[in-house]
Amino acid sequence: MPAPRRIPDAPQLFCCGGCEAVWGILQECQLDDFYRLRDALGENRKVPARVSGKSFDYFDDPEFLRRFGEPLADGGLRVRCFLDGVHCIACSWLVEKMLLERTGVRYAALDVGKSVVEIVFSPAETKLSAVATALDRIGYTPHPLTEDSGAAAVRRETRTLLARLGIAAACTMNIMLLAVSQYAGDVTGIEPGIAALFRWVSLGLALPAVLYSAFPYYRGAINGLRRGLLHMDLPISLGIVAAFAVSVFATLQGRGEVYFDSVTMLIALLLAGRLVLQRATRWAANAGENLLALAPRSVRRISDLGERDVLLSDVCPGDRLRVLPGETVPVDGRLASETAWLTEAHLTGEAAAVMRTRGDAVDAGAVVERSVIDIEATAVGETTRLARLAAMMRTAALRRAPLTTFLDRVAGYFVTAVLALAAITLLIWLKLDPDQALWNAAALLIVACPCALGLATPVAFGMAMGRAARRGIYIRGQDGVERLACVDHVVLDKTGTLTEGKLTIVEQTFVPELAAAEQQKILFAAAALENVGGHVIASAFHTMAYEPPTVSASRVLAGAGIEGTVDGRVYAVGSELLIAERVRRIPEQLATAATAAAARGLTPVWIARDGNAIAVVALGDRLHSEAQAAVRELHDMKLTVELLSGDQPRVVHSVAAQTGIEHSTGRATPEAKLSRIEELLAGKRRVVMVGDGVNDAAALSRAMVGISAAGAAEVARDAADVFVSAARGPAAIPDALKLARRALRIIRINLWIALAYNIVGAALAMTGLVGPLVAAVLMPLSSITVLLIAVRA
Amino acid sequence: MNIIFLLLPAALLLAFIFVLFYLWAARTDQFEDLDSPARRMLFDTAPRPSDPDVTAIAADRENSPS
Repeated sequence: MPAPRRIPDAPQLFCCGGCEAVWGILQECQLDDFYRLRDALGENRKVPARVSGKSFDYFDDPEFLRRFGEPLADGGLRVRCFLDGVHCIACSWLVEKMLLERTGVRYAALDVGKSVVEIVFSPAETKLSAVATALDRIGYTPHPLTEDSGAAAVRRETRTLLARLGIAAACTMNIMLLAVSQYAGDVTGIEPGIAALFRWVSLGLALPAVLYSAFPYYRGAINGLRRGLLHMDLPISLGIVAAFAVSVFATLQGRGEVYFDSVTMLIALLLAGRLVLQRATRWAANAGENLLALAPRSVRRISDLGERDVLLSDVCPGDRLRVLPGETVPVDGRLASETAWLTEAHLTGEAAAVMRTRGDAVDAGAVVERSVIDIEATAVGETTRLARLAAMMRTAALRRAPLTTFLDRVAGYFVTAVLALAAITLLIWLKLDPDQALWNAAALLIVACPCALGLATPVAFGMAMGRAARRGIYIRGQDGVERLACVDHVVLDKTGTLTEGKLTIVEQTFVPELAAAEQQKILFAAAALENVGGHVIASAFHTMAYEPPTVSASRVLAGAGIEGTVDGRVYAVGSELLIAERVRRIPEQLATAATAAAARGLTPVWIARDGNAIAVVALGDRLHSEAQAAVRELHDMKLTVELLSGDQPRVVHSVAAQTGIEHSTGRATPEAKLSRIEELLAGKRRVVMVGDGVNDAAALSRAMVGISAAGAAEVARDAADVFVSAARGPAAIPDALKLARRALRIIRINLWIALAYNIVGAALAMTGLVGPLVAAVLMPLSSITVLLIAVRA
Repeated sequence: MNIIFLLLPAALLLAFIFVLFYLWAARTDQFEDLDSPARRMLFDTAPRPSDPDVTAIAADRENSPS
């Protein structure tokens, strides 16, 4: 952990240089009220500020502004950006305040829930690049958002749903007012003229609800019929239409019962249930898909005009690009620099970096380590290997079997039963009392109407998804929840899923004479030396030291290691061969440690000081702290767990042994992963695939349900049905499965309860005991019961 | 009781007007973000005379190491 830094005359402690810089900036801009506000609003999460230091010059490009900016009538431009690092309301104060105080910015509003800021500015007075840089400098890196057609459609859908619900609710409440009078009139007597007035007004009020608000249910029912499926919307539509028709008939005739209040209330409740589900779906989707809607990254193109940031989509084969350490290679290319160290964990699963030399092929998606590289683009966009893997994923997704929800099956039986009963009621009553026949049949259709069903399932799913989202698990749609619930076989990827995905020090062995403080100094010295040498393994050492000791001399020995003088002592860090040349003897303890580490697939790195071998450090991809517990939980849930990875078999089997997984396979290509999934599916297993690399994408889409980490490769996120935020780690997997199972259990309970109500209601209707009052009471009663249970989902 | 012929239409007209307001609010996406506006009300918005140029200030800080 980096040691905290201290400012001489200030009371604060900073966790890192980034936070200190931001604090300084806020002080000078007189925006330090932020800290007071943050504490006053009771926000507990203090996250280190991350400044990306990117250049945002390409934001001023007219082409860019045309694509991402929305011109307004008064000459202003509206841009929406996703901001990194937004985590509280105080952030919204800070961002909005800072933006609004710039001349030229007319409007700024940050939606904390979505981390999206909407800025309206006048291009004549201020530059977008300056605005973006200002945001970045205080730790909120902006990513411009395109209003892609998917997001716009969802917003339109919500707007329409809100409108339908509002109208239905308004109609319901007004009709209810009249209905009270009518019920009172049944008891105390009412003038026929007034009664007729109330009926006609109720009819008029019910029209918008029945014709407009309930339209989605009619559409669903008709679409279902056309495809030969008995969708749940069918009995709902039948109930609504029957109730309305009967009531209209009664109004026209001037006698009989009217059910306008029940009908409109039914519609309003159903729509409310839909809204709950839609909001939950959108919330979960936002977390994952905001990142997908991000503007394509800018890449640095080197040309005769110099170094310029351009959009990824503008790169052509033959262009020369520069990629900085830590960045992802954007296109397939050929290496133009002398050497390069790349991590291809996303593509192959190997956490250790590989070295490439000039002329070697470099794939899009690899991460550059340590030194800047230049590449010459050979394939861009759809033709990169990355894109071809994505295409493979899409074809795999098409072959995935759609889940016939058991709800749809229930709907089938339900509809047939209700229609049969209604027909029976009609026939029987035609014999007994023809007048009542129609009312009773209609009454049956109304009370048998699955209001509870139509309400309970969306709310239960919505609650489950909301609960999951609060625990860092984002599930795409109710389909995702159902799939998760019936899983019986778990396939896990290794790198990034069970392990941390980066190279760290897993073990360290020192010669016995050294104290802990001394050991610490040795590691710092090794880190400092590696830092200077720029070797990729340095990144493992790099995370430790904050106060690096001074390196006075150093010499890199290619392929073997590095040696140099640190704080006056001579160190050598590298392979066993290198150390063997420089020391008199190799301590047996260190030798055994090194061999053991190598057997487990770790990379042993030797350290020698002043001619003595003093330590062996084993580097590898460390197992996540929760990995063992997560696997144990999965076993407790009676699930079969399997490890499938592209990394070397030695490493994979070692990880499997550590976590208690019986079946493990290494060196699996993306194609191999896909075929393993298909093999399992053919064996009727219900498979969930968990992975985050590009090499998992096809398997993720083919499996019954795919889980991916939020920090995963874009393609993997696209393929998955469930994202897990990075903070949760592997423990989220059993968590998600348990949540889904619980949701389905609650839905099943609700189905039984709804069925009970329907049976009682049907019995009452068939015996002619159901009047509008009974219907008006029975329906909300069943709905509320079911809702109260669904809310516990 | 004939007053009902006046009251009923009046009440319905009022309801209708409110529904129109609601539809306008739905159409202008006012229901999208229900959390931030509530909290935003509580912020002080004392106008500041100066126009802090964060970019310039940050650049200054980078150039003069502290």
